[in-house]
Amino acid sequence: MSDDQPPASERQADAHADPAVDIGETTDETTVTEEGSELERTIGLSGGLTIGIGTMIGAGIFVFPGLAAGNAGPAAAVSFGIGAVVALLVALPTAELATAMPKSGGGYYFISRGMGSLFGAIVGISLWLGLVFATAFYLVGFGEYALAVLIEIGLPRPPDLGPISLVAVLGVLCGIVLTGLSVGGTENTTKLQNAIVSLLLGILAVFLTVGIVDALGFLGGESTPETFAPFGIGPVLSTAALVFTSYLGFAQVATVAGEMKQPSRNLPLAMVGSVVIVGILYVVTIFVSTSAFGSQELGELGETAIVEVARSYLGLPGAIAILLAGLFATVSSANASILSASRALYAVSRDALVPKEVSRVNLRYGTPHLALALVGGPTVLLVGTGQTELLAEVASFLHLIMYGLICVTLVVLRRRSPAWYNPTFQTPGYPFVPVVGGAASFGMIAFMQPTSQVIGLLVMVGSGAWYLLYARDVQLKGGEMNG
Amino acid sequence: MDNETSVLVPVAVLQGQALSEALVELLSNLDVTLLGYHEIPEQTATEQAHDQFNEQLQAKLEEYVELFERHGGAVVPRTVFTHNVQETSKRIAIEQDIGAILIGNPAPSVDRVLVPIRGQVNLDPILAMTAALVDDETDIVLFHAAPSETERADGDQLLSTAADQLEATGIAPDRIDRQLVVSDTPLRAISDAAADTGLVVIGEKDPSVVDIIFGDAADRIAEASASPVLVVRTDRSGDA
Repeated sequence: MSDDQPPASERQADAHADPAVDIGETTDETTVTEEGSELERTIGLSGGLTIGIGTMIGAGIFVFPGLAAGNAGPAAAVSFGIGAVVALLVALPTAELATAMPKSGGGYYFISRGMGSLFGAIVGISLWLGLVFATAFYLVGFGEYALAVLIEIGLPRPPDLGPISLVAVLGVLCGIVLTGLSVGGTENTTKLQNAIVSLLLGILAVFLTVGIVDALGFLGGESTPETFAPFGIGPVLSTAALVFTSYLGFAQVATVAGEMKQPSRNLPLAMVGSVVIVGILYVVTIFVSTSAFGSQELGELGETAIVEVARSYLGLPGAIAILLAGLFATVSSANASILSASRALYAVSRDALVPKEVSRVNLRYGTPHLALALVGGPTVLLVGTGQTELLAEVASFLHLIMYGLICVTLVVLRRRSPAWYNPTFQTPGYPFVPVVGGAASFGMIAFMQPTSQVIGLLVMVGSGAWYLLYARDVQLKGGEMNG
Repeated sequence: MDNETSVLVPVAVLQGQALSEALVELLSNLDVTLLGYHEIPEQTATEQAHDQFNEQLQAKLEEYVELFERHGGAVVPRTVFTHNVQETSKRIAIEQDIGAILIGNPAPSVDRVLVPIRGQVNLDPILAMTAALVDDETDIVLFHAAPSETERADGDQLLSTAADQLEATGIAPDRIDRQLVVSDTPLRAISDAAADTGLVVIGEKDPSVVDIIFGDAADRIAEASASPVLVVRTDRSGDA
């Protein structure tokens, strides 16, 4: 089969600043390439929302409430609210850039075209690793839920296996299965993902409605009065930084921008819509959770605290529903992130910032097996550490850098206004929105644990070094290339 | 009405999907849009597959184009990378106002064309397509499955109307057979009848291209009979 393929590619990037020249003319339903082939756009608005919501919901509802409430008290709801506002301030500029460049690769693509290949390489490689960290985080969450299910069905809590916990083992197994499935080319993942997200939203709607009614005292249940922000404003901000991982999904919508139908309408709606929907769900979830239990108790319940919250409102059926929802949600987040990470690697390899062999598609399965392995492999290693908070923060760190740079890119492109830059969606409140969004993104990093900051910085420095050693001659910026 | 005899022929070029000479011979009588497609799973960006396989796809499609040209046909080639070929076929059929879509199957020889007819609805476009398709050596079998004995007479009436209409286009009466069966499983009856003909021309059941062609009747007939099926669209904007 390999002899059918064109010879191993040369190092030259076939990139052009103008996306219409680089990849092809965008229509509502296709991209028409220079060579005359059509690339079908098959993802509609609901598909885009599903990618966004499906990626995000696993973390914010099924992993963080306990940890966040333990750190910040009932004011954790504010932390989630801050996260939603920052995400929204970044989602608007991202949507504008995506409608101007509706191509695969998301944030990497925009930044490399607007700011050049050094920034592009740093963001592209960081985005890949950021998604690897995010996937590992979701999989640890999955492990927690799988373990909770085992305990719920009556197995005795297993003995501690020393450094490698059972949670990590379950997470690793799930990671291996997901990677295997994506290499094997399981079709219909979108339909499955749609069904899962609808099911999740249904379960949450019931649970949160009962929770709100109860928390507001209509059922006469006893709520727990508590100081709103028992630890002050500092933990509220650091918790916002921690839980920002729950908002990493909207930019994943941009990684499939090349396959989105009616991109000028659906991209902004899917990005902004998914942030608004999950933001509301998160804030309500925290409100309901902290009404059921004291925040300290929630903190001790850890990643699966929400199961106990459901149990307190809806009894055993509620607990079981949320346990199952948690399994589905964490798997769907992990799966969506693996696929986005593979898209991110494709985008950098297409521009020759990493060897093109990395994103080579296997003709038999039709999947980029090496790229998927380069996501699944490191993910599984990271899951083994079982460090929920660290994984989440490093993922957030690497994404926040990209978000900040997306905002900068928007300002740069608006000011330079190259001929090809014709977004159909205009960020409202320019320049206020991108400036505040960018500043907030960078600012949020300051509230993270030092370990996360160091690891994040090392990844960025490593990416920069890779660029200098491997890809220094690649030029991608709109102004400096192609005249 | 120009497009009434146009046909969309999707071919999984890189999978080496075969089009038999006999089928190409017949299709060459129509206006063919040859859709060379490569369907890829959602894990893979369409751009990614394009980067790697486009040259190969276009080169291979050229071989199919030459095959049609050898039989005197003129085809418009299009190459598409897609996650969902049904959706692509639908889009192109609507875009070009295509008369029928082919569901491919090997057909070593096509001596007879089976034309199942459900009722008066769609009759005109189905017969127009059939008349344009056949050449002098091909027989036509008009087929109707009556749900019960009491409806046999109606079926006979329908088949003779259809036969008259075909004759009016200049097809010799001795090349038109009529076959009427009583069956409460019309799909199976059609599939059985199709098993020993080379090609089926069938109409859409209701105005939804995708449901009919790929999820429903025509698809099941194609699968059960292993014959190629030409699905005549009825919701084209041009007519009516």
